[in-house]
Amino acid sequence: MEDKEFEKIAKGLINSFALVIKTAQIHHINNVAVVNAIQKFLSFLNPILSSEAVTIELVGEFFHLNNSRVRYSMEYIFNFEFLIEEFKKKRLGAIIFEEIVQEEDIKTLVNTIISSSHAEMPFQVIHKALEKAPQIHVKELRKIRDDHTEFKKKQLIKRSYLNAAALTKDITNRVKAGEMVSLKRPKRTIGAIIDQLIEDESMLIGMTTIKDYDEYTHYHSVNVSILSMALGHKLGLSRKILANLGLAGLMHDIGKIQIPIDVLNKPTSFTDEEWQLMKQHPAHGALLILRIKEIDDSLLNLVIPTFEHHLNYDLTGYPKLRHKVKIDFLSSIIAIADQYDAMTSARVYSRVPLSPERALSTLLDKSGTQLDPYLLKVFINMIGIYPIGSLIVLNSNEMGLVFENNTNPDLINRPRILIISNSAGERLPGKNTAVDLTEKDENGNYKRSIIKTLDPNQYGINLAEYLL
Amino acid sequence: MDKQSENEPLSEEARLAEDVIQGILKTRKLFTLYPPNNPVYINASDSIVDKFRKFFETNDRLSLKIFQNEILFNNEQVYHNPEKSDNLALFFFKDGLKEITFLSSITRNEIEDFIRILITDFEHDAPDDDIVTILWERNFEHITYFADENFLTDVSEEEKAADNVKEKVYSDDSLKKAYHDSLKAETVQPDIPVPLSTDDIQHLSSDMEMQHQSKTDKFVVILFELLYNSTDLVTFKEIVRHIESTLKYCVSIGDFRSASHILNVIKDDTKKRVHEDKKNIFDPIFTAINSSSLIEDIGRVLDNVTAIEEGWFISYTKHLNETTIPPFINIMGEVQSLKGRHLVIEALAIIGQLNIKTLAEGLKNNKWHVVRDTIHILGKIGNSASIEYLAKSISHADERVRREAVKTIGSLKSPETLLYLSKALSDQSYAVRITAAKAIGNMRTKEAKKALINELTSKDFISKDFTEKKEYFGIIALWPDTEVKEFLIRTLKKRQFWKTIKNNETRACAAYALGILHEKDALPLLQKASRSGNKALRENSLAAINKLTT
Repeated sequence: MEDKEFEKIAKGLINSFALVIKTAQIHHINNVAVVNAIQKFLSFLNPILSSEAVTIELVGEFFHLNNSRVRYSMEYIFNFEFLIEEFKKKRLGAIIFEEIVQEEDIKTLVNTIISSSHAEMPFQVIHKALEKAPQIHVKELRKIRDDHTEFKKKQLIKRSYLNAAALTKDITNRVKAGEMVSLKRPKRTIGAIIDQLIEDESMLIGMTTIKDYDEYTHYHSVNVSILSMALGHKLGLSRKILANLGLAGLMHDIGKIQIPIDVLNKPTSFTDEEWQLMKQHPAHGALLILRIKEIDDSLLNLVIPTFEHHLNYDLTGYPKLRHKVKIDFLSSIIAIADQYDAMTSARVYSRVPLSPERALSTLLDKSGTQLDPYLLKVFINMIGIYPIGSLIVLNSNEMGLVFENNTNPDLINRPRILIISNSAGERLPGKNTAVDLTEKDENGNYKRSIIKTLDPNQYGINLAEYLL
Repeated sequence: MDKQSENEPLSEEARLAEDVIQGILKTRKLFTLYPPNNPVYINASDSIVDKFRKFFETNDRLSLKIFQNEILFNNEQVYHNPEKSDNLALFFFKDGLKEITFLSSITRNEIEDFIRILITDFEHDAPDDDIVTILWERNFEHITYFADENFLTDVSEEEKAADNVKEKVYSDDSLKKAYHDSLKAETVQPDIPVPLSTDDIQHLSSDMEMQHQSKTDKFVVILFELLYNSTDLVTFKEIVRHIESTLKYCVSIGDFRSASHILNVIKDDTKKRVHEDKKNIFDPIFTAINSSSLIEDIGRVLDNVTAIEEGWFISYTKHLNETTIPPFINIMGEVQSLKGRHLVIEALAIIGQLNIKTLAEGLKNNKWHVVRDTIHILGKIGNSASIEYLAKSISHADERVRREAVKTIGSLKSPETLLYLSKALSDQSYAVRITAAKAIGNMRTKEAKKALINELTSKDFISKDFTEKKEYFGIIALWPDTEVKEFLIRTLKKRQFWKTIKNNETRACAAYALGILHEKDALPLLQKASRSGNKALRENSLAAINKLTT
C-alpha cells in the first residue's frame, strides 16, 4: 500500500473507532447512531482484514496501525485524543482483529470497553469479556517505565511544577544580574512537563489552579507555560513546537523585572504614567532575552511571544506597532493562557480572582477582537464547562472539586470529582474520594450529577490538599 | 550491581550487543569524517544496520543500562571505558540518560539519525540542548529511553513554598460556609462549550502549518519596532547590534529574503524615521555585510542550503559594495554545487559593475573555471571597456577559457572586437576558431564580412578540415549580398592543379553556401558541379540544387 493511502485509511480507521466509542458512551449500543458508526468503522476495517490481521496499538502518544505510526491530522485531532485517553484509562495497549468481524463482534467489544469504565482493573475486565469473541484480542498497555502509582505520579508532577517555578526564579535572577542564561535545564524541565501533559493533563492543569503562592509572577509564568502547552497539545503541535511554547510561557513576563517594584505591586489603579511603564514590559522582555542568548531558531520563538503577548488579535493592544503584522500563533496561545491565569489569580490590586467559569465567559467576550477566536474555542473546550478546580455541588448534596475533565465532548458535564464534604457539608475523614460522574446505577441512571457551582476563591478551597 | 566477573566470557546475546556498541562507535567516527554520499559512509551505515539485524535475529529489543563508565546488557558489561574523553557511557550518563532501548523494528534511517546525534558538538552547535532533549525532540518510533530528571534543579525552596500553601488549606468553617451558601445557590444549566466548525479547523490547520516556516520576517519587524521605540542612544545602539547579528544569522541559514528586508528597511525606512545623528550607527552593519568573512559564510551556505531563493539572493547582493568582489571571486573557486556557482556568478554580475577592473582580477586566477566564469560575468555585464582585460584571455592555456573569451568579446561590440576575433581564427583549437567565426558572423558588419572573406581566401584556408571549412562558408552565407554571391560563384568555379581534393572540398562548401543563399543564378553552375567525380562536391551541389528547386 502506498504511504499516502495507508495514512488515509489508518486515520479513517482510528477516527471511526473513536466515533463508535463516543457515540456508544451516550446512546444504547443498538441505537441507529451507534450502528451507523460501527458500519463506518467496519468499512475501513474489513477490507484490510481480508488480507491481513489488524493491530491498533497505542505507543506513547501515538497510535500504530500494524506497527506503523499513524500521524495526527488536525481534522481528527480531538477524536484521536479522546481515543488515546480511553485506551489509557482502560490500560488498553492494543486491539488485534485476527479476521473479518461482524457488527455484533464490534458491539461486544465496545460494550465491554464502556462497561469496564468503572472497574478497578478495566483491562482485565475487557480481556476476560473478549474470550467470547475469538477473532478480537487485546493487549495491556506497555509499561515503558515503572508504572506510576497515583501517588508517585502526583509526586512527579508536583516536582516538575516546582522545578519549573524554581527555574523561572533562577532565570529571572540571572537576567537581573545581566548573566547569560543556558536554556539546557529549562528545556529538559519543559520536556518532562510535556511528557506528563501527555500522560495526565488534568493533574498538571490542576496544579495551575492552586494560586496561593506568595510570588505570583513565577507561578503565573509556570501556569501560562502549562496552559499554553496543554492547548498546543490539544492542537497536536509537535514536541519541538510545544517545547518552544513552554519556554516562551516561562519567559513571557521577564520584562517585568525592569518595572519598578512599587508599580508592579501597587494595590490601587495605575496612573497614566505608571500604565505607560507597565506597557513597556513586553518590549523590555524581548530585549532582555536578546541579551541572554545567541540568535537561533529557538530565540525567535522566545522573543516573538514575549513581545506580542499583549497585542490583540485585531492588532490593538501594546506595544503599539508601526507595521501591523498578523500575531504569531504561539503568541496568540500565550495571550489566552496569560489572560485566563491572570483572571483566575489573586493579584495585589484584585484580591478575589474570577471563578474559572466567569473567566472563560470574560475571555469569550474578547473573542475575535482581543483574542484569536479559533484558538479560544479550543481553549474553552479544553478547560471545560466545569474547569479543573471548580467547586461543585452534586445532586447528592455532596460538595466536590473537579479534578479531571471528560474527554468526550458530549459528556463534558460529567467530569471526575474529588468529594470534599458529605451530604451534610462535613469534611470527609481521611483521604478524599474520587468519583466519576459517568458512573450509572443498575437502572442506567447516572449516580451523581452536578447541580450547582460555587466560587472556590470565596472560600479558599482548592486542590492544594490533594495535589501538594 | 550484579554483573559477571571480569574474566567470565560474555553470553552470545551480550556478545552481539557488544558488537552493536562497537559498531556504533566505529560508525560515529566514520560519520564525522565522511559526507553521507561517500562510499565509506554508506559502508559504515550498512555495517551497523547489519549488526543490529544480527542482534534482532534472536531478540526483539536491545535494552542497555547506562552507568558512568560502563554499559550493561542483561547485567553483562558490554562496554567499559574508565577515561573521561571519548567515553560513550559518560556521554549518555552526564545528561542523566539511564537506559536506552532499541526495538527490533528500528529502521536504517533511525539508526543513522541516532548516530548523527552522537556526533553533535553540543558545546558549539547546540548549547541549549543535551542528548536527552535531542532524543526527546526526535521522538524516535523505535528507540526509547529513560532519563533521570532529578539532578536538574534543587527545588527545596519551592517545596517549602508548596508546603506553606498546603498549610493554608481551607478550614472546616469555610467548608461549612460553602455548604450553606450552596443551599441558597441557583441550580446551574451549564452552557454547552463552543463547538468547532470545519471552517475553524481549517483556520487552525493553516495557522499551524505556518509554524514550520521561518519566523525571521516577524522577528525583523519586532527588532525595528524596538528600534523605533527606543528612547535612549545606548539602547538604540544595542538594538542595531542585534539587527546586525540577525542579519548574519539570516545569511548563515540562507534566508536572504529577511537579510535583504533588513537592509531595505535600514536604507529606506530609517531615512524617514531616524535622526541624522544616529544614521552612522548603522555603518557597522554595512561593514559587516561587505566583510570577507561574511562572504565566505555565503560560500558555505550556497553549498549547504538548497532552498535559497535566487530573487532574494540577488536582491541582497545589490546592497554590497565593490570590496566584496575579491572574496566573491574566491568563493567562486570554492563553491561545489552548480546552483551555488550560478548564484555567485549572478552576484558578481551585479557587484562587478561597480568596478570592472577589480572583477577582471578574476582573469588572473589559477583555476581555469574561475577565469572562464569571470569572462562570462564580464560578458553578462556587457561593458565594452572590459575588452582590454579579455584580450589576454584569448591566449589562455585552457581551450575552454579561450572559447569563453572569444564568445564574450564577440558580444561586446567594441571597435577592437573584430581585431581580437580575427586573431582567434588562427587559434589551435577548432572549437575556438569556429566560435570566433560565428562571433564575426554575428557582427554582420562590412568589416566583419571582409575579415571573413580574407580568412576564406587566405593561403592556409584550403588545408583546413572539410567540416570546419563548411562551417565558415555557412557563416559567410549570412550576408546575402552581391559581393558574397560573386565570391561564392568564383570559389565554385575555381579549379587548380595542385591540392585538387582540398580545392574540391572548398568548392563543395561554396555550393553549400549558395544553397543557403537561395541563389538561383548559380543553378547551371551547381548542376555542372553535381556531376563532378568528387563526392563532397557532388553531394553538396545536389543538396543546394534541391534547396533551390523546392
